[in-house]
Amino acid sequence: MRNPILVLLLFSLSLGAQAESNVFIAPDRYKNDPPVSGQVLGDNCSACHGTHGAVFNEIMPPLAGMDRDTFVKLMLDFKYGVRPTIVMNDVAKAYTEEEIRRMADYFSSLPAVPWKQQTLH
Amino acid sequence: MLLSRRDVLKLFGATAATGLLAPARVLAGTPPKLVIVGGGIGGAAMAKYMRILNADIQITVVEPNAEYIFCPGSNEVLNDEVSLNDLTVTYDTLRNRYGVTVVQDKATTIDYTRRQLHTAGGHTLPYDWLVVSTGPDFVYSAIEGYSAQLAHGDFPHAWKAGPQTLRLKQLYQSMKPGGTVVISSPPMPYRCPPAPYERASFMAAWLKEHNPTAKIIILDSKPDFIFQPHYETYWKETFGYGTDNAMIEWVGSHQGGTVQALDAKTRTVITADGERIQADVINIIPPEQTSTFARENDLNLGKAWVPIHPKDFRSRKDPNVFVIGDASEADPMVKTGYMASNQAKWVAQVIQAEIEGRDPGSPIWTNNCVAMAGDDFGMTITDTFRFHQGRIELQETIQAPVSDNPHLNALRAAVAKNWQRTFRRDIFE
Repeated sequence: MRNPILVLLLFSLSLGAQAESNVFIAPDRYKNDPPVSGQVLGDNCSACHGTHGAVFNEIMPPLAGMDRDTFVKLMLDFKYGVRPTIVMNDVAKAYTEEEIRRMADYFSSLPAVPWKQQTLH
Repeated sequence: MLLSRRDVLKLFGATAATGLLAPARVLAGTPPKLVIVGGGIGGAAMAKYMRILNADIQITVVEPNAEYIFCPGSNEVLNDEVSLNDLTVTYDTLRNRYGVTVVQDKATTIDYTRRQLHTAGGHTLPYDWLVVSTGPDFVYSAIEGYSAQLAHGDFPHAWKAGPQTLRLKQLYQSMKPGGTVVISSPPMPYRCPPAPYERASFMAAWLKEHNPTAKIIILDSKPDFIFQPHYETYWKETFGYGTDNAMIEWVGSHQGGTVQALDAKTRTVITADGERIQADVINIIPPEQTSTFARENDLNLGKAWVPIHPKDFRSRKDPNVFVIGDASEADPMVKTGYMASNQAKWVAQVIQAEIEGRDPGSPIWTNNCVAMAGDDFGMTITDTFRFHQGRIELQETIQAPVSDNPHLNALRAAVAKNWQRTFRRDIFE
């Protein structure tokens, strides 16, 4: 289901009662804007996954040091609804595939060490 | 040779000074200075994320309180699931790990020309960039008869976690059997839109066990509210919502729910329709506007909130003064701590890019928030905002649909509780 229009259509149909309050614009609209860097994208993950994606806990998995291809596959599966989750399907669909790869580059470059144990600079 | 910004200004004039900002610093050999007003979620995130990007910049936070108490999670204090202590953090980590100077003082005046911040305690803090993250203030005058004094006494709003939270808890938990709580929910925009309904739910959970004939009436200044289908589903299942024996009743503005006045002596609220409702506990959450600090420094330019440049959160008043979080007018963004923290992280990128003389690229801001109706019933919302064609655009807002699957609802609550912990760590660890 890689057709964005089809995804959008199916998405709209599935909304039901909350249709008026939900909004979704396919991320392709932003593809000609200056790019969002991997770090800026990644900083939006940290409220749940910890600073630099390096919180290690029972529900939100650490992203720091995650294998690049694993990250991309997971996010694409979330984005296209292949793998159901609590929130990640809705999170992932906001990003372009290019942005997902940029995030993967960023997180895979970071050490898989809890943030608290990392030294700064 | 020490050339201050003022010296450069005198020598070359204002235009040259702006252009020569970076060279002036190189000449002076002193690191640039960031001053932050407010040590809440936005201010603390600003300080921490700026330090992560820049080892040398001098960072000062001006905050009147010695500790910060998180608002997210503070409704759970009302039914003993969480203590205020669990939500309290100190500034030790900001000081010791991130090399931030935390001045316990109240910011008063911005000298825009000299780029200095003055404090009530007599400090004068020079800055290259000032970030204002004060949060909102309450408009008590919008409710006739209500006041800050009453809020500190027997009519707490408890919309800033702290002593009022404990007072509200004491008041409703010591209510007579069959007593009534009135919650007045404010018009938009205000901090954390689902929180009045979360609050009512947590109070009801406690009352159901300890004072089962008690009642909570939510008088709303809005015709509807976020997560309404979720809350109404849970309230029907748990508190008889919609029946004669309902423990929670909700009255929208279209049904006359807007509270206009308080008669404190008789513990009565008066609605827009002139209806008088007496209650044992009255929790008025007042309408909000930007902070007194922002207004006294004319950052708001006469408006209710501070107008900002939508790409980088520089105030319209002065490009070296950024305003983030609830104090700013960042429509269509909502006023949440989550949002404030992501605005802070982006402003750190903007300042670092300016120091390095490069473009910061495009921003993206998420607000992937959670709320609860009960210990086993959570809900999530996924918001994404982009900067596109000169304005902030809401790319996505999706409320996870109401589910009758108890496992899913419990998982959402687990995610919500987990998020509160990870979020606190992202800001202060």
